[in-house]
Amino acid sequence: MAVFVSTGTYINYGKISQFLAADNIAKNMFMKAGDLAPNLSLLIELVRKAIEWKNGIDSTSESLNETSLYLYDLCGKYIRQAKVILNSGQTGTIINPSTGNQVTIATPNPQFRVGDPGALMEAGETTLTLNLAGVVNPSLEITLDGVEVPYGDPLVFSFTATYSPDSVEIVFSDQVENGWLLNIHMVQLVNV
Amino acid sequence: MAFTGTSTVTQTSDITSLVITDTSSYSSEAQGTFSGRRIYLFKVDATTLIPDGNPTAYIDFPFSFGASITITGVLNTDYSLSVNVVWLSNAPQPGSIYTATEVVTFLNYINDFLYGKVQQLAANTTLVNATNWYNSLTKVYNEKENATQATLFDDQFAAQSAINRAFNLINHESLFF
Repeated sequence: MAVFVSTGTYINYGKISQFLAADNIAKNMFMKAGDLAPNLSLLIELVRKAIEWKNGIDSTSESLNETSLYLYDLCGKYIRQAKVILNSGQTGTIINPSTGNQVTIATPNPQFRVGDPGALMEAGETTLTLNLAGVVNPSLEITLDGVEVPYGDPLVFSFTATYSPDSVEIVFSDQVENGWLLNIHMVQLVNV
Repeated sequence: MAFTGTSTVTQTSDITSLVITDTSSYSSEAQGTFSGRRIYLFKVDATTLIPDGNPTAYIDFPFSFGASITITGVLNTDYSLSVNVVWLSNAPQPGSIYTATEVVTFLNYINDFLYGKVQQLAANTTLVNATNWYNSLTKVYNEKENATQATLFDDQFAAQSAINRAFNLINHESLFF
């Protein structure tokens, strides 16, 4: 699945790669008296500035996608270094691989005692649906009165979980009882 | 404090238009002491660029327009212009400056041409190996950069010359590309 990269980011890759290519060409000209792609730096600059101009007057132009990818292609072996340079000194970003969205990590931790007012479950129930989007599969852990509940063990009280994009459904192997302290841990990717 | 007329020139997404903004302070001489403002868009041959049907060599910029005026439909090609704004004072004061001039170069048509070529390259990456095609592309690009650099030094003639050289290649595209 494609990961969305803004035109501005491609332009930044181009700016850095243009410098890196020029530096490399200059080194090769001096040390080896030649370079396999002596015009690469200029070509990256030309393409980058053309895209920068188009993005400035019409950032919704569909052609920007194709031309930006071409710029990315031109950056070639410099792209890894450009990415490192671009992100140095900044906080990194996390991309949810299944959606391509930038996300932060959250750790929701609902805890309740069965039967208490406002508790997420009542005695006799076996299923709990948490309407939380982006819960990482598998990340759910549950403790009952401080003791971890096994996952999918047919011999003891256990649970199974079904992860959906917008929710996670927990099914316990037996009915829950009043007074049980259930503490649910999970990792969630939240869109920014 | 004496009045000093100042202005800026920008563009909208419409590449045939330009926007001139009066950034002067009217604290020392109120707008009521002026009878109007005029804009002259001088080309290198000393003629002025005016919208179709404009009866004078200048463009009127009355105070009723506010701080900005959008002049539409004048840039039908790229130009390096000497943009001159004149404030018409009814009571000129010693030390005040009632004119502001700036060299501004518009390169959207060359940029549009270059972007079109980049689109061709993106669709057919082997074009870069066609020597004439690539050399002509870089020539157009270099002339655009020349025009930009000349503008930084307020050298309107050098900027316009670079534009003309770029258009020589663009207008004979079938020969050079």
